[in-house]
Amino acid sequence: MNDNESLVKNKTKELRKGVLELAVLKIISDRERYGYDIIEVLKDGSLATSEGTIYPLLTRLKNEGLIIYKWEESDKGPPRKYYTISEKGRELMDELLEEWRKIDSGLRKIIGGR
Amino acid sequence: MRNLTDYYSFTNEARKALENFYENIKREGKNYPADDIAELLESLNEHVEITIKEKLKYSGSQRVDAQMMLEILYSLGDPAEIVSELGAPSEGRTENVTERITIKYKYIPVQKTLCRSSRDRWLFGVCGGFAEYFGVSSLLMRILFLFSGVGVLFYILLALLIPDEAQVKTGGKSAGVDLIVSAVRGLFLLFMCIIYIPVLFSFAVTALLSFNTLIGADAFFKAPFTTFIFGTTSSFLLGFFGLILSVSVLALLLNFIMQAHFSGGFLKIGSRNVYAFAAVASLIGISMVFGQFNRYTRYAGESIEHFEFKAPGPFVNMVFNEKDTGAPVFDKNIEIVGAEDGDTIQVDVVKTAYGPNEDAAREHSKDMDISIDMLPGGKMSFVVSSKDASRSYYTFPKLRMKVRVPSGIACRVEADNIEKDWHSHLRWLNIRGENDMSVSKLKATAEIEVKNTNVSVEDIDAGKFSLTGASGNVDASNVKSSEFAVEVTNGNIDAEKIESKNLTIKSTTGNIKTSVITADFLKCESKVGNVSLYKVSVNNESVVASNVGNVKVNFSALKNKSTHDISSDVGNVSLSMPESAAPKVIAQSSLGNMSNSFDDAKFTEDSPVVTVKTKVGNIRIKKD
Repeated sequence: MNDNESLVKNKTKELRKGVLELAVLKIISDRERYGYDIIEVLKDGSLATSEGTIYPLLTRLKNEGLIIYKWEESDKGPPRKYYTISEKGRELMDELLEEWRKIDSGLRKIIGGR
Repeated sequence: MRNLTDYYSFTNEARKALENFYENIKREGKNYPADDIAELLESLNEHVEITIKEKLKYSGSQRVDAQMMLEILYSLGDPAEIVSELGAPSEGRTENVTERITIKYKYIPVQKTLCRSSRDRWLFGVCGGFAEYFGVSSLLMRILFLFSGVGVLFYILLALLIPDEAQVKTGGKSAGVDLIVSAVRGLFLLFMCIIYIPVLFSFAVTALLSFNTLIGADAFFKAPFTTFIFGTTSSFLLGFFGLILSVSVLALLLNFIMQAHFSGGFLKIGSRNVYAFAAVASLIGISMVFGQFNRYTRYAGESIEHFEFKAPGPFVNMVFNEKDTGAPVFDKNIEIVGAEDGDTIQVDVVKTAYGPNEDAAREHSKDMDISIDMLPGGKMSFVVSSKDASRSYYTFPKLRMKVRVPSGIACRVEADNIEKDWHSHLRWLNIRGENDMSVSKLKATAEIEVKNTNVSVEDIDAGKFSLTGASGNVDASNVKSSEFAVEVTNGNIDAEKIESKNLTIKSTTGNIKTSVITADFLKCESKVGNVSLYKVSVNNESVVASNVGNVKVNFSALKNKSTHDISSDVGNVSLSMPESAAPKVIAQSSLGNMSNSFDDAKFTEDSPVVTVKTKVGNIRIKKD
């Protein structure tokens, strides 16, 4: 991999990272999900970074009181940690979404997208 | 935290890799709150377990090996990166982590994926990708694609299906290509579905037909089923669908293998490898079918003038299928050239006209000439069968066959008319050849001309049958013919069980030997050879003669008022007849001795007249 490719990769990662928290909040806002599930959704949306980095992010969001989780027994396999959004988280998400729309439309104007 | 090694059977390396990974997380997380790290480990452990379950879904095994473990850890990412995602570490923790346990997971490649090569590409890198995937020469792949007939079409399809290497490496996807890929994938699945339905039908029909052949119930199964489904009874179509069947089964098998061992299968969306595999399998199959078109050829409802064998191969099936309209199938005659050793040419005459068009069909039935030129080394068996004639009262087109057989070719003509069907499609057979030849099971008027060659004919039921040859022996047996003529220059003639109104057997220098002959008019002559007839029954007239050879005749019956001339210029004549025939015997020998046990016979005006003449030889006439 040459320098340019590596640079692009890093910058792309930075870009994704910025919206990752919002994406995770949105994903768990409609229903409870466990970690693996969240990663699958992110992969579908082409937002996946290293799979492992989602878990510390969830821990951080939890520590910030934005999400809550509960253990749920599964009849096949281990108990799973189900995450859902907290009230505080939801408020933040709504605001962030609003912000995101501004960023989106602003950026479109700048780069001349449709 | 659940100890996964309790639930799955880890190999040592796999266990070690997982332990190292957790160990590294702990080391990296030294400066973070212990609770957070514990929770992180718990979550990661849960993730690993679910991933293992996913990966083992289709295998039925509980084995976790190093490869699988490293794949999982690789997709989880670098421990340092994971831990750093927790945010800023707690205070006083700037110390660098130096003693990380090094594990190799970063450098183990993910399972080899089939993708379009970015290094080895001429067009879209499909061939290069295949070559890299299978570890073969890309030149070989290119040749395969170029020369497999439909390879070019598949190339385009594969170019859409297989991801580009650059994309795979960066993990990114191009949305435009993605859309096309999913569209093509959908079409591909649809295509498979469309194929599977006729495949199931053809499987049923093939099974029915085999059964039908076994029990010999011809028209019952065949006509309704195949005509209904395919509109034809052509075995070519069955072969075609059979081929598709085998290819599909191959694809299914592949799917199964992929599911069992690589957690894939083309029914599971997302595994591009299997699509590629299935496409390659179909490519091979379809190329085979296209290849068959050259060899396994059907002519239905077409006018064919000239057919040429293109490559050595086993079978040409010509189905002459007249449509309900009664229009003649062939306006022109057929010429087949270049038949080679092992080639079989089968002619099925199928006529399905019935109902209101029946009369029209009868009127339009047209004579058809087939002329076949064989190549040196060729061996041909010609089967004219009427197996599809489900209604017996049709007028079938008359087939006239001309076969030109050059020297060095042994020719076998087997005209197999099915017993219960009284039609003989082959009405006229003309064979000219210069080598050994055998004709059997023929119900047709035939002319056979040979040179320097032996001929054997057997099981003939013909109106007119003539066999002429320069030199070579002739064997004939089981012949029923209104006019049967065998004339050779130098060969011997051996005839047995011949029934004919006009029977002519002539050889210039060869011997003639016959047994069990029934005829109205018999002419049997040899200039130099001996003539020996055993159990002859002649109704009207017989002439048996040899110039130089001896003549020996045994009559099994002599009709009243019949006349018989038996003569030899130089040879002896020996004659035996049943006493009950009471013939009038006229015997003349210029120089030889004579013994006649019919001297005292009482004959009437109706008695058969037997004239025996020789110039030099002896005459012996005795009662049986």
